[in-house]
Amino acid sequence: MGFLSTISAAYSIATSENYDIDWEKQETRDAAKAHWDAVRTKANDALPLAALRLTAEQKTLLDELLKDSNGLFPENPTDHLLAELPKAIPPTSLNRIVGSVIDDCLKNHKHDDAQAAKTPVIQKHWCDDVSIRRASLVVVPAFTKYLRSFAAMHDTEPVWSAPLDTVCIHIQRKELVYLGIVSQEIPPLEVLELLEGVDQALTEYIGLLSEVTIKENFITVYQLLSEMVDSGCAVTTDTSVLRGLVPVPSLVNRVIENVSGIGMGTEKRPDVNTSSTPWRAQGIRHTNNEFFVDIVEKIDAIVNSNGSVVSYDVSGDIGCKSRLSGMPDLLLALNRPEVMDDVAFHPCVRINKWENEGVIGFVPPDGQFKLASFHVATDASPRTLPIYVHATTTRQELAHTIELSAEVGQCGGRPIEKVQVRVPLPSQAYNIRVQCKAGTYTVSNGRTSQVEWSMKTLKAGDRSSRLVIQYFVRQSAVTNAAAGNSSPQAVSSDQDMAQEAFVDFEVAGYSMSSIKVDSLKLMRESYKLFKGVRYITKAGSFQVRF
Amino acid sequence: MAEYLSKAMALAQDAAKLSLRFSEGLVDNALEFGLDTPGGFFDNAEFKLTQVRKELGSGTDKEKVAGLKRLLAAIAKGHDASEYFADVVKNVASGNLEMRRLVYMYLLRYAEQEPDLALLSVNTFQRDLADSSQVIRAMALRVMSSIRVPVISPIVVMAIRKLANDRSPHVRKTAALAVCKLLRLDTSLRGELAVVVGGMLVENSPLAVGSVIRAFRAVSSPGQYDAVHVHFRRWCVMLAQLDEWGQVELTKLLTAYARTQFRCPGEEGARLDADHALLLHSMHPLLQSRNSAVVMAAVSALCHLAPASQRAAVARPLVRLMRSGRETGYVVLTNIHQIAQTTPAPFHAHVRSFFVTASDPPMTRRLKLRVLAALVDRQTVGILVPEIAGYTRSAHADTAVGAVGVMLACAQRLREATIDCFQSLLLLAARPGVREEVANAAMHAVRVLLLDGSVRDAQDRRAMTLYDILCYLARTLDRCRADVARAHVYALVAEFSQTKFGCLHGLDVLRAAVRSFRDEGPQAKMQVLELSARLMCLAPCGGRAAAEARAEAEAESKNTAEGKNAAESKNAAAASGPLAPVLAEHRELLAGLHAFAFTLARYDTSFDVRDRARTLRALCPLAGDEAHAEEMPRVLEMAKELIVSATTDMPAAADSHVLGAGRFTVASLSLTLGRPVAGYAPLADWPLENVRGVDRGASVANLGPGPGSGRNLGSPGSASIAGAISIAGISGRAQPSGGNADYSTPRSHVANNEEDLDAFLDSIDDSSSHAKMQNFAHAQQSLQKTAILYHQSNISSDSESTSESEEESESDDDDDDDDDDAAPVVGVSSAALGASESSESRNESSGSNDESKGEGNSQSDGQSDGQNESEDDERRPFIPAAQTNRHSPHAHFKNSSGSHSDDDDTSYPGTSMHSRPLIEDTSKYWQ
Repeated sequence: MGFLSTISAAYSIATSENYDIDWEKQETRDAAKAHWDAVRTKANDALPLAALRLTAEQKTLLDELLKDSNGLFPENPTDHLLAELPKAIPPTSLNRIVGSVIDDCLKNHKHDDAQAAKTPVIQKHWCDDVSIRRASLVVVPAFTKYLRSFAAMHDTEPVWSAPLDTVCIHIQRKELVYLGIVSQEIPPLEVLELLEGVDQALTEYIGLLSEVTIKENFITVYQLLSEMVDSGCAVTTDTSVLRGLVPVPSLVNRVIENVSGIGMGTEKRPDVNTSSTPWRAQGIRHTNNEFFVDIVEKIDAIVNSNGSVVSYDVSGDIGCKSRLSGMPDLLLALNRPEVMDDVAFHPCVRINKWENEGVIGFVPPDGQFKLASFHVATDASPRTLPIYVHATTTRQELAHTIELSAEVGQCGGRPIEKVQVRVPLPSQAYNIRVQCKAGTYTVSNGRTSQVEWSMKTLKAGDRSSRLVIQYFVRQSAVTNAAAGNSSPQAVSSDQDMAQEAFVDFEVAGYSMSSIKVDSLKLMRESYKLFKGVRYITKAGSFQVRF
Repeated sequence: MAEYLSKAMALAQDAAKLSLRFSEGLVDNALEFGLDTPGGFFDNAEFKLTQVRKELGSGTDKEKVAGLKRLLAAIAKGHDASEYFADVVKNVASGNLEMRRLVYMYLLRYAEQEPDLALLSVNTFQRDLADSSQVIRAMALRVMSSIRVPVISPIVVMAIRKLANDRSPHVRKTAALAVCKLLRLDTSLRGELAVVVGGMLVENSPLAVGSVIRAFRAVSSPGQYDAVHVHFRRWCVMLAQLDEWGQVELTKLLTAYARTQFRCPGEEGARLDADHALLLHSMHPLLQSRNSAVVMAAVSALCHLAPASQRAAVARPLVRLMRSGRETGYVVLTNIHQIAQTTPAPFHAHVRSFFVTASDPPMTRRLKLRVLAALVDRQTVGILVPEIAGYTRSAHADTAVGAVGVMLACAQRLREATIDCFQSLLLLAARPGVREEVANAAMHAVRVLLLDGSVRDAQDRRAMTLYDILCYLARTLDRCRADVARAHVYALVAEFSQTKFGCLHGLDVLRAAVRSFRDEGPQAKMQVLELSARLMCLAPCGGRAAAEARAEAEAESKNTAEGKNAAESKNAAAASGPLAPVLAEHRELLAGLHAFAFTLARYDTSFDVRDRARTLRALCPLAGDEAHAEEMPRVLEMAKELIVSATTDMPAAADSHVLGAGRFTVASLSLTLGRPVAGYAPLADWPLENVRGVDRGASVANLGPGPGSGRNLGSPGSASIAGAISIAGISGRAQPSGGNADYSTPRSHVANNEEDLDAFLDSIDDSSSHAKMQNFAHAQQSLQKTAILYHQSNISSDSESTSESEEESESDDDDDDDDDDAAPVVGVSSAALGASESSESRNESSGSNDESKGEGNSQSDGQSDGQNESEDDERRPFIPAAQTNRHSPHAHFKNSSGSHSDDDDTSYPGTSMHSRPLIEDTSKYWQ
């Protein structure tokens, strides 16, 4: 990160690509809150007794709670507190006073607790010393505070103006937050793309990412970062290039390291592939030459209450898994390339060939990679959906009923798998009752309740797949006020009704856009190639409105 | 052999332990086995730091590595480990590569603090610069250049010079990056490094070009692109071949370069320069990159360089990026928002992609709705309106409020949709069970539409008179409980107090309002006070006056029926409008209500309400205060006029936003944040003519495999290079032909309905200027009020001298060194502000492309208003641009119920949505 203090004019021309990267664990706010609520109830119950006598357990609890109150009570805080209080105060007001003290303590305590949980796991800086201090002492704490101010990580703004004229750009992947801090103009997508690249590289190197695994492999993480970013400028994010520079940690590596006392000395020296195909090293050998293609299509749709499709989009990814020897050159032909109206390719694809001949020609990188992602021209696809979810809502006064039924649409006669219908209920909903004939359901009560209905498979002609949700709505003061004097009876308010369901599903062996792989030809190598193709259609953001 | 066996045994044992550890999955357990896992280093770093010195000094590499790992773990956690610098540095020459890497990592972090000790390591690096392995050469240079110690910079320059011609592109890349780092450390080296970089520009390896470009941009001063000419065509052709980050760098450079070389493609009948066309052509493949930064850089290039016809290509990739995730989607939406405001046409086909889903995060919802508002159009309105209507019932308040904003945009932009939207808004505002925020926003939209004349203009086909609308609104007061919404209704009644409705029912509304005054919110209370004050001002004092007023009103209605001198009649109406007769009859009642409301307000809990009451009471005295009135009738008259003509405070637009307020280079951080970020430099202006006489193809002949590049097999761009070279070859001045001709579309093909991006960007766009003007109007209005209050207080002491000083200050705005206090100055400054604002917007709307672009550039420095720019402009009363189009003060509301023929004069006196006429009126008065 470059801060203003030491940045010269020359630097500002160089467009200031400077990042810091921090890993932060996502806070489980709700859990923490529930925990503290429990503690507080306990403490409050204990308080009326506090004036009279305290059990040992309660005293420890109070001690613990009061300990962190800014050094107000140095030792044995409870005793101290009780001694300070005039004897004449009646128990009720004592309760209030101690209660408020405890409230404050809880606030502080909660604060510290969250703070501890949010310390970055790893930071790396590319700036001068002063800026490093500023970043780790001011900006990062400010950012953690910012994250904490949101109930859901989902709601944070990825580009946030932080103190000291810096900008925090972050992404969240699983339970990790990657933060880049920049202090000068730089296209934000470059930072996001870099962070994304860091996440991908780490996933490839470490596997399942978590705070623990990152700590375990922090040397690798450090090495990767110093190869990916040089003095704050993104250098490379391609994992096939990185693999040449930083060895992939493995169990064998570690054992060897332990045996020989030194690591990597015994390994082959890292080298850079400077050929015209930087994504593929020379001399790769596999005993079985295999190539797999996965075409995964996602349907984004909004369906209205009357069953009409409001918006509908199909996009897909062509994922590949390559285990081929030598320097193969592949030609992948699709049956209907013309329906793909927007395609993004892996750098290995020759775009000219695609534009002129409609075939994808490429020298594949080794291992798994995403060859292309595409969007299907909406006209070219049928306007029928693989699944239909109907909903009818009825209400009587404050009682609401939602009836849901799911039905197979058009999906090549295949069963629909992993069907999941999620219905968020309004925050005033209570007394939720669910009846369901097929599949299972769960009702979760968080900040807002929601009902999740899941079925392993849904077959065509299945009539029994129904779900009925009943709930009552608390009549809030606001609604009453809004109703006004004119109508004394209950008036439905916008917030009172469940408004949509989100549907998730998967159809194996079916391609929504009917795009298929026509042929896969191997050139420049003479061995026989084992080919495999899979098609999957999934729900992207599939929303049914009531 | 025995040694190997024992090692194998150990290996087996360790493996067993490890598998156990993995099965238990606990890092802590690993420590019990005596195995220091890296995680162990990490967790215990600070506790074992004491051992580190011993370990670093030990004989075996293994212990040293362990110590180093401990140190690095401490650094990674943010602890200070600088005290071990000396112990670490002595291991720098180790033969063990892993250890050396660790040492390097440590060095980079702390070299700045210990420059003297860091110098010890330089010898090792220098030796490594000649190593046979490209990785080691590169690493040595990288570490050396990263040590932020100025003393060694001459050595680093030498190293860069040496490795700039290395046979490995990886090393050359590192050398280029080292230039950037060194320059940041010591700017005095710029000249020296520029020479080195100049030599590196011939780089042909796709791996290294990106870094060389970066170095070039670092060493060259902005606008100095002479060195680019010879490489231009070669780079255009290479672009598709480079690695992703290289593509981003090169695109940025070429975009900046092209803005200094070619004529603006938007001009009529202009044909693109062949090189310009080549550049645009080479951008298109980048739109298909998987890397969002590359796509965005290409989009930025096309947006700022291409003629409108080619700009349509950016829509599809942007929509794809928008779907690609929460974070990317957000940034892309901010860009789409800005692009769509100027060139919405390409996005019309994708309008459904911007429909809000309930799972979108708030910021995405907000932006999508803004984009939808920008995309309102004849083609899209049919799809949009039903969808938007659904949003108003959304569980998310912000979605519903945003939907109201889109409806407002529909109503304002499309005349045929105005009435439908207006009616939906009316119904929405009063719908039972509607959220307070939504009701507020809807009522705000209703008020905007009534005031800016959209409804009146669209009125021809339907029979919904202003009278009916206002009656409906007044009735909503029975149901609607939202404070701001009620405030808007009261404000509307006040603003239309001189129309038929105001005459007949204004007093009724006031009576009801005073009765419920206690229960109103602060906003509504303030509006009630203003309504009351306005009615008071409109009511003439006695019966004789009433009769006169009636006669006058009749005369005026005749005048205005002819549609002439309405401006004068407006002023006259302000003094004694058609309202006068009605109010005159109930003067007593009105005075009572007025006094009652102001008494209540005086003891209100809200500071703002008390303040407003005090202000208005000073301007429009109560019965008891009337002693003043006789002393200074002129001031009171002025105050009256002020109250009557001023629109009351219009709360900021429901969908007020920072985004789009300024305009920034597409893809920049400044655009996303909506404010200029340090280091932001706008693109240069187009030159008036293409720069001729430079050879941009000189280095194409050199194109071929770079020194280090191996087989050209399977390179993605290899096929395209051949084709593109031929283009570059023939494109001296000739028209490219054949299959490649499409990239040089002549200007005449450009669809006319798509406005030129830059031209459009330069003129203020409707929505943002709207918000700006509004805010400005507020400021002005309050200033004006303050000024007059001051006047009043002055006048009460010495009225003559003050009025003199007013005239003086009016005639000369610099003349503020009078014996008077600050009061007139305030008034004058607000008038001056008005004038400068007006002249600025005149410039912006009518100025030619280049002029206004210059203005735009300077704006980005100092946040918009640019008030000082037009100091020397002659001052004129301001007429907002939006108003002159839609709302002329001469127009009249169509009155369909002919029963009140003498009240037919239902003009909109002084009811513009901005308070500009206020300035006009008062300045006239002062003259």
